[in-house]
Amino acid sequence: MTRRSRRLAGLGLGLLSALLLVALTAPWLAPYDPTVRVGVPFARPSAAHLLGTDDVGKDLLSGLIHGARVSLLVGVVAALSATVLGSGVGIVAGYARGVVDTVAMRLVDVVLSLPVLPLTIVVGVFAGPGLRTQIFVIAGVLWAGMARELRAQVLSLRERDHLQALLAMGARPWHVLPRHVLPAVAPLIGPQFVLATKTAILLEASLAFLGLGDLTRASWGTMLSLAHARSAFLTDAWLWWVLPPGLAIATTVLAFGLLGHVLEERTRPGLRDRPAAPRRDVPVSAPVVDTVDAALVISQLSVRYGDVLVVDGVSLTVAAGELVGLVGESGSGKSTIAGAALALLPAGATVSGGGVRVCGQDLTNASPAALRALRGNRVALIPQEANSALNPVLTVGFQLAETVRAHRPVGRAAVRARALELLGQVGLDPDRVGDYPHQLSGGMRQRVVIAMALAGDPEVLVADEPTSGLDVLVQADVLDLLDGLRTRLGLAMLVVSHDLPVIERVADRIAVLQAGRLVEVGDTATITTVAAHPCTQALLASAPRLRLPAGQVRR
Amino acid sequence: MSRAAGAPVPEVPVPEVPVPEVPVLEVEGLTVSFRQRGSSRRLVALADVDLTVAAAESVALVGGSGAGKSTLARTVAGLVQADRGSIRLDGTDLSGLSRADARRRRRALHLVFQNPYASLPPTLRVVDIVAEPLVIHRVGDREQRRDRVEHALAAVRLDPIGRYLPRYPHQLSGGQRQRVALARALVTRPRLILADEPTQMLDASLRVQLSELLGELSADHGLAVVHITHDLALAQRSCTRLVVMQAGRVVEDGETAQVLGDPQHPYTAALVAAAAATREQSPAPRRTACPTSP
Repeated sequence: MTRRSRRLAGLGLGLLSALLLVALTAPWLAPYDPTVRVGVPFARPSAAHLLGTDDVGKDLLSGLIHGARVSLLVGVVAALSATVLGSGVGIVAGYARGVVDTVAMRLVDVVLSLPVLPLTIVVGVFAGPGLRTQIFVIAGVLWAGMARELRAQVLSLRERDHLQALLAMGARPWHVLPRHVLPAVAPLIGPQFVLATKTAILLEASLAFLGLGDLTRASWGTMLSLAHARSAFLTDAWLWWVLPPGLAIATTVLAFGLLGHVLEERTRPGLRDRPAAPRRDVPVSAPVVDTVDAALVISQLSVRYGDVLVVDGVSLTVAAGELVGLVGESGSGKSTIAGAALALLPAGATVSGGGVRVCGQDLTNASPAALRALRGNRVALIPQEANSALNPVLTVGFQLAETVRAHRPVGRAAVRARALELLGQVGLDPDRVGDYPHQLSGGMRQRVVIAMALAGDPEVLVADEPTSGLDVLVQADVLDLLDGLRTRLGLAMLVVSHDLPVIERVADRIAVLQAGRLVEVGDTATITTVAAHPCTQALLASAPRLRLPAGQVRR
Repeated sequence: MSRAAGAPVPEVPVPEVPVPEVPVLEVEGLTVSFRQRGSSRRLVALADVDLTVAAAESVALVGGSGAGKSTLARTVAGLVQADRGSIRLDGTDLSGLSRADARRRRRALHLVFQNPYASLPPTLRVVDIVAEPLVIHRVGDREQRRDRVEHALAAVRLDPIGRYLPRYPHQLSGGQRQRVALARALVTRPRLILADEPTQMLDASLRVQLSELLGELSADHGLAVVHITHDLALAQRSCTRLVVMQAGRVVEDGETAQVLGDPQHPYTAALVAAAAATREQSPAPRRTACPTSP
């Protein structure tokens, strides 16, 4: 937990315990009995009555203190019932699916489609005023939203690998639900409960304001209702009659909000602590420096995430028409360097030294506007996951056209022509222009993403693991495509990969990264045959290769 | 059944029990189709698939994406309903059994998923994750479970065990997570492990280690292993048999060396050619685990 969230939690907890304490000790804390006349009507605040008195002379401060009991009781009990009912229905419906789900969700739809306030009034009037009615009515309208929210979560949770793994182990619902589903949705239930409590307290106030509360046990809402009925809003009596219960409601809602926030953090261990990747000891040697003037120049680049240095003085250049492979194990900083080449670093990462130049232009100190002009037009990125890089509800033609328009203000016909030209460049049938991403295979999607990267006619192309997740045959096709493009279009291409044998087929040069440092740069042939650095040797040795009987024809 | 774990790896991988006559897994004529959204046509994922795996045999199941490899594994594991065909585990046909009985029978197999970042429950510690199958099937008491968890972790070479037991998945590397997943697979002492591209998300060096570990487990404990992969080189290293799938059908099935050396089906030939196009290794590899290497 960070210091800030600890402090917020402390604040929320403090406020809430103060409120609870007030509610619990109300009979002793309150100076007077709130149901008994103790002063003159409409008295202004005085030493005897700190908040004055109401229209019959009851002490308002005592009313406020006792009101905390009722408001909190109704709010918490109603929210609790709504949460239990809503999560129960949601979880069961999402997990069971089928008929159970259909029936439960239609019921939820009905409840949700009814307007809340009129419904509560109608039910309230039928059931008669009182605390029980209030709790019943509030819980009755609040559970449905929660059920819907949780059902959606459980539905998607059910498809996750770790639940599928449990089902494959033969686990029954009574094992899976309490042990795996409930903890997973608990972060959602926590804030939902808080939200419900907040809404319940507000709804209680509204119901009481409308006269559906228990007049003998006045809540803050009842106080407001009475204040309104006695025209406190028209005089300056609102200062001590309306403002205090209003503030009390706001404070309670805030306290629940702060607590819900921390609850969410606690139930997800992954949010709490994320130990830095262990840094292996790298033999301290002079960093390899790559100095050729070129389209992409990375010079002495250092990037840190907080205290952790993930890229340490890396220098690398890529000339026009050259394909450089950047290899290393996961966590070595490859993707960070790829991001830095477009000045697109994830939140929390900062360039702490050196810089990147694209076509002579320094990215490190460029303004956001200059960067926007540069990205896509000068340097473009082929992201790792073609699947998530494409919008599933738009056709690939539309998305290509959108990218083209982002770079040049041209007419509709020209945009279309360019989109078709791009599809041709990456070897896709122009008929595919109207297809949605899900209608394409993984390899085709990767081609579309490459086409989008080409849309602005960049000089530098950075590809982050462009073939991961593709099968062998498609992988070879995509690499051949990249290889052909850089020759045909004279692109400077930096391809990040963890697979040395894959990249060595097409790369001119290979740079090997270990724990954020460049340990070796050289011609592909040199690297793969006379690799000097142990890390490179390890990468080479570890990569399995197919060995075929001698004499077999290949290619 | 052999002792599931813990024993030091013998020099010569000899199964400790005589190989039973009945294969561990027999799949016959398995057909699976899915309803397509917004269309009345059904997508055929598996068409009349036969597959037999014996004890102590490790079979590589290769093929492009969409070939039906994962569907086959998931159907055998009971996550997907088959339209037709039979699945026999140790000679017992699962389709003839009640759901509860089939569930009990399926204790003899375990499915290992592709993504170790997603297949472990994020809120449990390693000790509880590995013990989970035992809890599900109500095997042993606390002490016995703990004992078996430690044996399983030792079998997947997570060492020192004490350091890993109290950790959460997010505190482990990808390779360590996949080992935990494998330990969870071993803890019930299954007869068959279905591993769905278990090395896909890992670094190259870890891939070899892990797939060799699968091969060793198969040989040491008489486990039948189905290793789904699209990496032929990995298959060559750690699997005795190679089964090639394309478009929901098995197109080739044979000894690894034989299939790679003399592919019969054009699709297999293309796969082999593509894999061989990556530069051939001239020096001998450091470690050889593949029983079929020359």
